[in-house]
Amino acid sequence: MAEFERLRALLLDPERQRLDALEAARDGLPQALPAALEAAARGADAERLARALAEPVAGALGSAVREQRQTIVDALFPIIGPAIRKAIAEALRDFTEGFNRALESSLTPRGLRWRLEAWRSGLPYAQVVLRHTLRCRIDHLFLIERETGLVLHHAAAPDLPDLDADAIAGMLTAIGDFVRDSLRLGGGAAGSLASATVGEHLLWVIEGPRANLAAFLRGVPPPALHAQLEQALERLHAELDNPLQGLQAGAADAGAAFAAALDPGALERAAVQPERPGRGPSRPWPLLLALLLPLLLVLVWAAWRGREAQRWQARVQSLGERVRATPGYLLTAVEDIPCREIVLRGARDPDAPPPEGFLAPRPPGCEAAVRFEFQPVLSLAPAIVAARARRLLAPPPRVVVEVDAAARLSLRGAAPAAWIAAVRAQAAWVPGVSGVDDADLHASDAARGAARAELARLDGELAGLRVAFAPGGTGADDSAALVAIAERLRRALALAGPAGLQVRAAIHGGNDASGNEAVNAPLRRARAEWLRAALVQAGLPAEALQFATDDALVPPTAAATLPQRSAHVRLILEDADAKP
Amino acid sequence: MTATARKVCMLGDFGVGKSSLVARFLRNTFDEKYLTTVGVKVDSREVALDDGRSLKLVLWDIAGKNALDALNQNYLRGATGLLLVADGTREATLRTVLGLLMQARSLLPEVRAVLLLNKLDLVERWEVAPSTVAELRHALPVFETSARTGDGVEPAFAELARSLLP
Repeated sequence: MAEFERLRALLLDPERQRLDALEAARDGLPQALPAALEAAARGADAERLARALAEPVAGALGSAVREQRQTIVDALFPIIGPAIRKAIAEALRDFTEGFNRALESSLTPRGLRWRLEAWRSGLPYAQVVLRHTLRCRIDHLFLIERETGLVLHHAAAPDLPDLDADAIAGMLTAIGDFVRDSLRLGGGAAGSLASATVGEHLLWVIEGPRANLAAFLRGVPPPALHAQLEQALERLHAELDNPLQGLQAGAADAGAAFAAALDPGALERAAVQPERPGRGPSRPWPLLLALLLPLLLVLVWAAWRGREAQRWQARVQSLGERVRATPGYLLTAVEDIPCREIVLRGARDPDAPPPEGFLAPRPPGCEAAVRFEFQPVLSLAPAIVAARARRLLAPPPRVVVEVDAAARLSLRGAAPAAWIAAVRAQAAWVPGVSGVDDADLHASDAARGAARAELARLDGELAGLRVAFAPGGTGADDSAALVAIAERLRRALALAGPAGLQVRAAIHGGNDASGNEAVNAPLRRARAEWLRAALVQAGLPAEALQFATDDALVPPTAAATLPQRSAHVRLILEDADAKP
Repeated sequence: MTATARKVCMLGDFGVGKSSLVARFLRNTFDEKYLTTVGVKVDSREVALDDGRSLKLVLWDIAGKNALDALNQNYLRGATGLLLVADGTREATLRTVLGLLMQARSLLPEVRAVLLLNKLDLVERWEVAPSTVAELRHALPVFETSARTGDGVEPAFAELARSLLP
């Protein structure tokens, strides 16, 4: 047995020791694995390790998202917040920039200038805005000898770091050859790498017979830039056409020409300059409009000024004619400053109407001050002489003062005797009066007395004239008495003016002694009404005829006689001055 | 342009150490991947000579091939100098680079060439016999170089630059 064990040990010990080592390694795998992965990640097999881990790591991440969501959320929280904030900030910045650009291009002088440029050049406004707002910069310009790929000239933007221009030019040439060869175009074929884009960077390669021009651009280049570069390359070929001294690598005398022709800043500026007139579709009407508009405004202004001047002259002329047509005025000169002042000079009688009356109504048009410069003068115009006579003689209201064309003063009407006596002494001395006619002027005192006396007489006669009625009757047939009463009343009313009295008629009805008062009072009233109606029918004014009360004039008496069975009229005389 | 520039192409078989020599001598502007994609990698260096003159060498490191195809012939266009590289431990690479030289001379009759026998640090394994090297020196400048240690690299480039100066 012992030999068997010894034999067994001899045969299997190495195997058992290997198994023990494997088990120990397996047990220690969790502790050794991180170090092993780190070593693998640093070693040559790092890429292989990454490929091997890609699928299980993705699967583990998926399982973690499904089963341990909160853990994933907690782990990503510090990353997601800043990322979202950065994205929002970028979006807001873009929005703000766009908004500012829109505002600037719409409301600022620059925007108006761009619009004018668009009108002038015939380009759409959007294209002009893009041309001015899109930023494009030439980072590098390489003039490369076509045969060797060597750099003839290199120009770069000022803030860019130095680079191996020869290596880059060589690689560009090599890549161009590579592209041409890949497309099986052959060495002499015209096609080649003309442009390439990487992100915001752009490469243009412009080929020439002996040299190529490579431009590294950033941003969006204006369309004219490519043409500018082509022209620069053509110019270089034309100016430096000696293959031995011109476009050869290392030709020192060509350096200045290269630098002048390939200045990035100058090329950029030339590319954004507006196109020359005639190169694009031009629209001359905006320019014509710009020229015609001021002319039109001048014409409108001139027409308006002409109309205003015409209106002003009409106003001045009208004012002068009104002054000339007014008696008592002698107009010698009219001066005016349009829309500022009118000056009227001449002579004016003090009895002429005041000149302020000419200012109304105010004519339409501009405001202007009107100044009157009149010297005093005595006018012989009949109207002014009459006004002067009225002012000097102060006639009473019932006296009419007139002056005829021969300057003869006419006085008519009634006036106090004392005034008449005075005016007969003064009237001839009124300036401008050549004679006085006072034949129709009579003293008002004597006429009034006579009129009043006649009125008293007429009242007495009326008291005796009665229209008789039959007993109990309210209608009469006494035409003779009625006619007599009407005649005297008509005369009395005519004398009211000369007498200076107000004349009215009071109509009385009467009754005899028979009957009581209840019967007689209506009877008296009826008889008075009959007489009034008859007088109105005879043509006398109704307003001058009123019914008189018995108490007022004819109180009934107990001894009424036949004549009391009648109706009659008495006069009521009141001072005219007492009742206006 | 501070110095006159010359285009120099580097030719040689696979694995002879061309890229290592470039890495030793030049600034390595571009990544090695261009060699496998475009088939060429361009670098430059200004070489100062003992006499005070200098020359900028623009070196086109052309991917190793047995023969020049059409694309590589395009890459050779305009070159005034050749750097021929062979692996001293593999005599076959010497025959290849000499074949490339013959092909290049048919395209560029006036081209100047320098031969670099590389991997001098493994000189004990060299297959190229010294007598062969001595024979080659009659035809063109030969330099034994080591990209690993840098031995012989600078003189080889300097010699080429000197031969390219006008």
